[in-house]
Amino acid sequence: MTTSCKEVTYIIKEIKVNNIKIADSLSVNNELESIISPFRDEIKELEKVIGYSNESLSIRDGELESTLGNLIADILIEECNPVFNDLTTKNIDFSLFNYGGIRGTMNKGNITQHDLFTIMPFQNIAIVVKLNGNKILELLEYLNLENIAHPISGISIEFNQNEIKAIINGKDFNINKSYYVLTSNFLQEGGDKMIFFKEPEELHDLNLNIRDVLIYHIANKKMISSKLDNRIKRIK
Amino acid sequence: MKRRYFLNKVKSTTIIGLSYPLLSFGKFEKKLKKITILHTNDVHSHIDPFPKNDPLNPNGGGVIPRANLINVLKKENPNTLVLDAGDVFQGTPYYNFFGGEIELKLMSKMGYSASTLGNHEFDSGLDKLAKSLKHANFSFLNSNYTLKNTALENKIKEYEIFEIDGVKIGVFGLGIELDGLVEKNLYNGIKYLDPIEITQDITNKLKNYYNCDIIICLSHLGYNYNKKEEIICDLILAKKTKNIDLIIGGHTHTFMEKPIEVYNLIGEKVLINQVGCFGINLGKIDFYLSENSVSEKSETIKV
Repeated sequence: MTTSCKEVTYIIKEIKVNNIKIADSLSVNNELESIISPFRDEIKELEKVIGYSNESLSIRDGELESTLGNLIADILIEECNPVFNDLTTKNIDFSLFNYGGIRGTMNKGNITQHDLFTIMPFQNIAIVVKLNGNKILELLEYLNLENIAHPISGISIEFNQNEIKAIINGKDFNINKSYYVLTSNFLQEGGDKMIFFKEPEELHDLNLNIRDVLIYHIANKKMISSKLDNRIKRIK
Repeated sequence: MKRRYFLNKVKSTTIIGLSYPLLSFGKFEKKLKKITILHTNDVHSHIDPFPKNDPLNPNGGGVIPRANLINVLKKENPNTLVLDAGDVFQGTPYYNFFGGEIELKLMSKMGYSASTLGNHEFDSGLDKLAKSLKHANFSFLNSNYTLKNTALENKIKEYEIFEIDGVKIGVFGLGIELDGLVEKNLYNGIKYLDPIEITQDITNKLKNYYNCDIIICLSHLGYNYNKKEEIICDLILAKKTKNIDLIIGGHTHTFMEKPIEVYNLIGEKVLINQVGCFGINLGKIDFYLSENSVSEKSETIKV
């Protein structure tokens, strides 16, 4: 048996690079298609149209807010609050989700369940926590530092040079008060370093899959629209 | 293993620490060898192309167009390695419903040689991830997660060495800290180790023990973070280590028009490349190499 001892080594003399865009959606490959098609057939039901959007909505179309983030945070409060109220007789004050949890865009035109899986692929559950004023202040400071469009609803926030103004449910934020905040199980457990959610005064698992809530809402409303409304802004 | 090229796990007969000074035997000008690296990252279960009305990527991506492109490029240069930098999973119903089976079957057919563990590989938990790996005929590489006594033990390699046309390519993988990115119960038992220390150890082994000619890091650390505190990322990894030739990055979904060149700890060039996400782009890096010594001795061992 011959064993080649690696005495020859090679030196890199030159490197050429080329990042290529793949945009040939008409390309055909029967071998791969035969692997994909049984799976695609099994989830065909998801292609049924459940609603319609007037505009293309994205998580990236604003500075600290976005049309898609606003839509999702609004829908989740609207649908989750009656469930929470049944459980506790209380109401949700505001909601906070995360920018990273929204993974796709909602295209103008027909909306399918498939779209919602792409927008919100995670199996996240809606959770309501009761946070004291100090934790809410931590939450506001977190948003100030993060400086990205984490979806919020039921709260409006203004970052000035040295202060943070927040109006929750129509009233000025009061640090001596506690608030009910709607979020996901992922964030409540400290996901995206939202540690202020970790040890709440109360924790209510609504046992609702967030994506299912969105699908249910869109299927009922049929027509979806959203806009930027300056609910969170930085004064420069 | 792979059909298209000769691939050899390095045997223990490799001579340790042997190197030839460039000038001692004189240098023969030989034809340069060309090794092509094709790569993706953060494909996130995007099997079908984006629809034509997608505002960002109309008709973009898709496994079939990618496979056909890879086939064309492999015909141009059969000495090609196809790599991925993690987050193969999670992003379309294909993952929610089938748990990664289709992604890994397709990557196997496309001729991928290695990928690394992205944080989203853990989204269904360790047991399901471990089970799904049977659908891959290529390795997942990670060297900075401790996997002992987890479902992934012995299923993930720290590194792999590919020999193509006589050129040895050492590939290893680095994963991001999972705390804060993945629910704890989904990765129970895994400890995250400092990527810089691990990189020094592994690349030293690949370079000086196995005599690799090209060293590639599949990194899911992320390209860069604009935060006040220093967070480990590909830029920092490149600057604070040595021996890496190319970092194929992921996690931050950074669409780089072309790779960036950085200088490492000892002033040598390192390339960092990342091609965004969702299988919209394919990275292509051609290494041209020349022989660094005069003769190749073969010894015959009677068995």
